[in-house]
Amino acid sequence: MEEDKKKNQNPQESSENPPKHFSFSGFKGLKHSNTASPENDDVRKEEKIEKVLDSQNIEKADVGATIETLAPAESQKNSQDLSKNGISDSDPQEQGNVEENLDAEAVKSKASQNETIPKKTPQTEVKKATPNEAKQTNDKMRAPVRKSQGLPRRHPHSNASAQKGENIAAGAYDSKLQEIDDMRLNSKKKTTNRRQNRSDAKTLKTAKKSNGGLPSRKHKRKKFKAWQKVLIVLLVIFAAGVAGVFAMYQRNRVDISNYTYKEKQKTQIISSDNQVIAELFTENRTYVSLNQIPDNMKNALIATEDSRFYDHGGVDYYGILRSLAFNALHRNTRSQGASTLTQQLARTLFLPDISSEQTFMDSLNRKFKEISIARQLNKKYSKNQILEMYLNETYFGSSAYGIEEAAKTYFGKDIWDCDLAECAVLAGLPQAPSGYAPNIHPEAAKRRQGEVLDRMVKTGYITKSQADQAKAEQLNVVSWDASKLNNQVTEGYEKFVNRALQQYAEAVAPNVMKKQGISKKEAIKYTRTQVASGGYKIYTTINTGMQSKALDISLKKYPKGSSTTNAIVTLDQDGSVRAYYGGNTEVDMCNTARQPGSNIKPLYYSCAIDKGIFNANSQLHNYGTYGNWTPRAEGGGSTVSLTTAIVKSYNPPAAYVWYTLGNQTAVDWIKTMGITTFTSSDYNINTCVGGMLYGIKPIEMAAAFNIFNNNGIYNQPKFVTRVQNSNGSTIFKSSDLNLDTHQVMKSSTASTMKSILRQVVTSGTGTNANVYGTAGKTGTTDNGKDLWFTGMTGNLTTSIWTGNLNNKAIGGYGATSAATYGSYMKALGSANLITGLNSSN
Amino acid sequence: MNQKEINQTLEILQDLYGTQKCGLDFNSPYELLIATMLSAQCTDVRVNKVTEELFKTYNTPEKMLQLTEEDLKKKIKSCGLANTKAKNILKTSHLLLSEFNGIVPKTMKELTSLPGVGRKTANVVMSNAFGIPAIAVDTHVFRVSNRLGLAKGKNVLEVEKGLRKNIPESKWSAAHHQLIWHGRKICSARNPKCDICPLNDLCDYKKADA
Repeated sequence: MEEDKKKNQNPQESSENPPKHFSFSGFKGLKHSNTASPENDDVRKEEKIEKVLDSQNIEKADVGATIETLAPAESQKNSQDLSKNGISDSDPQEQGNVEENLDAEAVKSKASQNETIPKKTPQTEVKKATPNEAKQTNDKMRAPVRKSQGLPRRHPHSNASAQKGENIAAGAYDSKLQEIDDMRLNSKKKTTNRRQNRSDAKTLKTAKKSNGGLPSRKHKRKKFKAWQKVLIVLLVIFAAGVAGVFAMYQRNRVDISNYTYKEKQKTQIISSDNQVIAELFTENRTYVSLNQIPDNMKNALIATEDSRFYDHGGVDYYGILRSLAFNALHRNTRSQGASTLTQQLARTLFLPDISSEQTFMDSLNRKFKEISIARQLNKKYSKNQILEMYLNETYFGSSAYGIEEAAKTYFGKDIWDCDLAECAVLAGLPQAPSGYAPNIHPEAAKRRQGEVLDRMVKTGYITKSQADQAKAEQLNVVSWDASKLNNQVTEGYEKFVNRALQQYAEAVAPNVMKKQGISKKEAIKYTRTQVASGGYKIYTTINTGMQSKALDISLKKYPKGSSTTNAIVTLDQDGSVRAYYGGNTEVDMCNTARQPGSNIKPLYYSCAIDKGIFNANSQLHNYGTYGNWTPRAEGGGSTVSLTTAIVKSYNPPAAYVWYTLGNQTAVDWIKTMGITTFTSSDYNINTCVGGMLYGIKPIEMAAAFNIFNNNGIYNQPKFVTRVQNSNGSTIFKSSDLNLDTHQVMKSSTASTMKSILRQVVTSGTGTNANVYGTAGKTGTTDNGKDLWFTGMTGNLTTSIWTGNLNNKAIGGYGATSAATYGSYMKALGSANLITGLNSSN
Repeated sequence: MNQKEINQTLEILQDLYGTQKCGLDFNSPYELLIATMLSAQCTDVRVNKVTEELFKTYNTPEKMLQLTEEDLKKKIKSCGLANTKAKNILKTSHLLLSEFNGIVPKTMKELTSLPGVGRKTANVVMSNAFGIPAIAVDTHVFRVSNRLGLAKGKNVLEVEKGLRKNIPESKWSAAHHQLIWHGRKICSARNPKCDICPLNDLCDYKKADA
């Protein structure tokens, strides 16, 4: 236990992770700190540092004295400073010798510590050691290593340099030190493992001695950025002369010559009876043309984001210089940007994933790409086109894309009705769409509006009095309607829409994979995203009449929130999905395998009939033991006819038939009927009563029963009939789905089975479904966990599952689902939705 | 109690209670079957209240099977033993559909093959629904028969056999109801009202007491 603790708080361990929060009180005020960690393994970096220093015209002697070979005097001063800050440090004299004998220092430091804080054990000190201290310690620890490798030695800490550095150009100097810090920090990470093996005791003893006041990481990061910007200054200023930069630009050049701008549009999903069941969009956007947008809006945007918009060639080099200069001079204020509208548009259209940028190099690469695209856009499109694209593409916060949705979202009116005050608010948004959103941060939005108006005055678009008038105007902001966020899918159609999109995406996946060189999974995801903003019309098989009846009937019995629910899926003879209700939760129960119980029996009985092993009148054993399973006889004599066995759903003859077929034959047969959920453990006699590992999906059960209703031919369920692009031309037909269709059994077998299943409904367990000459089969699993009925009425085959999502038994029998089937079919019949009914029915 | 006394007893019972109908309300053999199943450990009055509501919608095996166990449990909760009763009613309904084409069978053997249906329920159904002479021995019949000496037995089956032997077949159903009524009104389980009992000079229990 004690040892664990010790280990956990081992400063060396904590230094493994780069220090994240240095909040050592005494040093908060320090601008920077030189951790001076030696890079035993990376001499190149040091050289680089020195090079950079040279180029900065900082006297190498100065910096060198501070960083590379710490002068004893300085170190002394340093330690004195530290003592002032309340940290007990070692003897100044000893400091002078620090380079010569660090080990000795360590020992002495222990001694001095023990004097000042005699009661503290090394362990308790360790507990107090901040990562910072630990780091310092490690620096010391490693010094001898450096020595032995003949590398220049460093002082473990160099805060002193910051304090005495008044004669050094503060900004450049600081940033150089910062750079060095960071490089060392990085190399330090690499050496951590080696240090791990060093003696604990030593570390413990020296831990307290540390004086390392590194600035907080947060602070540091800010500086890091500032430093980056300085580097950008250097790189961009000398870009023309530096081949490397040019090469970089070349490498990041993006060719958009084949690109044609197309506005993103909503995609519609349409039912077989021509109802729009869903509108999809990745971004909530309504396109408006430039002449619909008031001048105030355009001017406000240009004044705010890119005042030289009409003058530059896509990239504002003057602006870049200006912002670089500004940023270099005002390092503590918010940095100025130089992205033109065109560059921002380039980013919106082509490089949307800025959030994935990890490193500075990533963002530099992105910048080059952006510049290259912006230049080409500028050639390709007029300024007004670019402005129109910008206004329609840009995100304005609150899930509003494009200026029209933004005007609607914030002010509840069209953009052409917005006055100067409102336009100024909207123009301020692209910089920080949520930060300035008037519905969330009204004060910030008002402030930003003022900034925009001031800029407009400055650039001469409006007069001061106009600006003042606009500023005084009361803004009427509408509150946010979050319901607009999502795709507009008609309630109850979500799961069908999902399956339809999936079927389409899977069908086109091979092409997309080839074109984009991506995996199938990525191709599907890509297509689905593309579809949602492509302005497509996707025509589907669903019938809204049937779907609404299915929804009515199930939701009346099992409303949202009820733990019990249904899956109802109706197929036409050709496999078209006419109704698809996946239950009252997010889970799509139509596409979830559940134990089928006796509902599976007709599937393999048909195999025995088709192969001529048995016929409808064959007498089957109504007894028997199979392995260690003896199915319980529930009635009948020692033999029953095959018809009776199915109608009364006796288990012993079912097992007898399965056994006669054999596991392999039976399962393989059912697989040809489109059931995909078999596992190796399902090659088992228990499958004959539905005892499968996963079970069967209602949609596949319906497709399998459809074979009996379709002369023995299997048709894979079909969701999509065709897809039209935004020009109205058909780009995808149902034949492109390549759906499976094949003859599974003789037509006579199918009709024999259908007539047996008819008797189930007239005189067996399915009487509740006895409408319109329905034929079908019930299924019930242990204690009524899953209640099934799959039936055929006219040309429709429907599978209904009833159960609890959590697989808790609801009790009851397949007859419950048969009853649901009965009332569903009655509803369809009275709405004249069932085709292919016999006139006698 | 000899045969003469038995006949006298039956006559007095007939005078006292007349020809009684079954205490349960029903309109079909299936309803009676379900009501009888529900009446275990419960009063007829309570059962009638429950079935009045239940049978409005669910008066056939098919319709009953529209209910899940949970649904049915809620509806019959006040009868007690709802868990078992709901399970048995659904299972029975299911078997009626799958084995008997939805028709309640008439023989003791077939009836007792249904879950939750024993000799007593079967006898009640047979005698009341189909008019087949039968004596169902419930708690009242068992107690009163033993006390009077109409038929002695350690269990209901013995008592039923004794009653079948001692009572002419034509009077089985009537005697059954009369014994029940006597058990309810006078010959109660605790503190039987022997002082007002018209049968007290014939009764073995009273004789033994005296």
